[in-house]
Amino acid sequence: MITVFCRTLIIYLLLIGAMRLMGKRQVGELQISELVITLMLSELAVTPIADKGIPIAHAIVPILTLLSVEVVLSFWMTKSEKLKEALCGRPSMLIRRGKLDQKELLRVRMGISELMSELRLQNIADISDVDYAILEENGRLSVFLRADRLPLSAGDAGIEGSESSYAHLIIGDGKIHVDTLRKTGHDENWLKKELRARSLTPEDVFLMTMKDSGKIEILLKEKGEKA
Amino acid sequence: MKTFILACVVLGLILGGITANALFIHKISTELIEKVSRLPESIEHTELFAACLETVNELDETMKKHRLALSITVTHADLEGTENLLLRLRAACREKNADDYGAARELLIAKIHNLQESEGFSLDGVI
Repeated sequence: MITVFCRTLIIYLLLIGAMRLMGKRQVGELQISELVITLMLSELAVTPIADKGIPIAHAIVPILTLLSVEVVLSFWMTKSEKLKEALCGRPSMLIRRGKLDQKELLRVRMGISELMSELRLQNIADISDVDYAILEENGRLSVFLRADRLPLSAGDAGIEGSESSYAHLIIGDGKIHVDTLRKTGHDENWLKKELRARSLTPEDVFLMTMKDSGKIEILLKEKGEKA
Repeated sequence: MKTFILACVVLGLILGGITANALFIHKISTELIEKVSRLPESIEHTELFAACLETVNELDETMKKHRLALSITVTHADLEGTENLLLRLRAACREKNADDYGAARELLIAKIHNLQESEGFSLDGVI
């Protein structure tokens, strides 16, 4: 049974590694670890049903092991960005401020025709209408239009021009996203100053976003939810 | 947080369970191997077969006593294989067939060793 336990863990990690190498586009709606669990559980459950010679413990132990490991890892991932990045990858910004990042496109092994197809699926015919396009960890493409290409209702409401609708995630659940912060042209000292001006520390913040214009939105943690 | 704690508890129980199971299988298989090793490697005098038959009966009793507990984790093929070899050994003792006795004894020892290794921790098993 120790053998079964070790084999379960090895195959689980191997499948996660394989899925990570296959890239985001293979994943679909689920996170990589969820997809791996789904694949493994169905096979594990069927084996002892089909073969009476295999004790039911050979299915129960791996299934409980996988579920427990998945729960422990998911919890751990909410606390560690590094682990989350290692197991699930990170979002890839394919279009930034209307400019296509060809290197990133190559890195995620997505052809321009595939990107155009994904945009068309979101009713966007012209790539120049896009302000930001982000390939998420689960393989979905998030698209943000240029402000002047937003639906008419926005224009009718008097919104003009150059301000992007995209909000950069600066702090999530008390954790500072240093990479994003730097990409917006700021550093941690600037962030500390901004928070101090509001009498806050990063630990007090559940969500902090910033638009290209510099407009900041802060959502505080509920009481008793310190990171 | 509750789910996380529950998952940790389940993982702990699994680790405890498989360790206890490995120790249990090790104990039973060591007992069986000791009993089989008591049997002489080869028999030249036919009077010895009666004594061997007693040891084979003891082995059979041990297997029957622990069969249910063993069947929780040991595959039915392995259990049946061990029982079949015991039957073969018993038949060889009854028929006083020295050639088949030697072969069955060796095979039984190898089978129990194999069972012990497959349920304990071994890199060979994992790979």
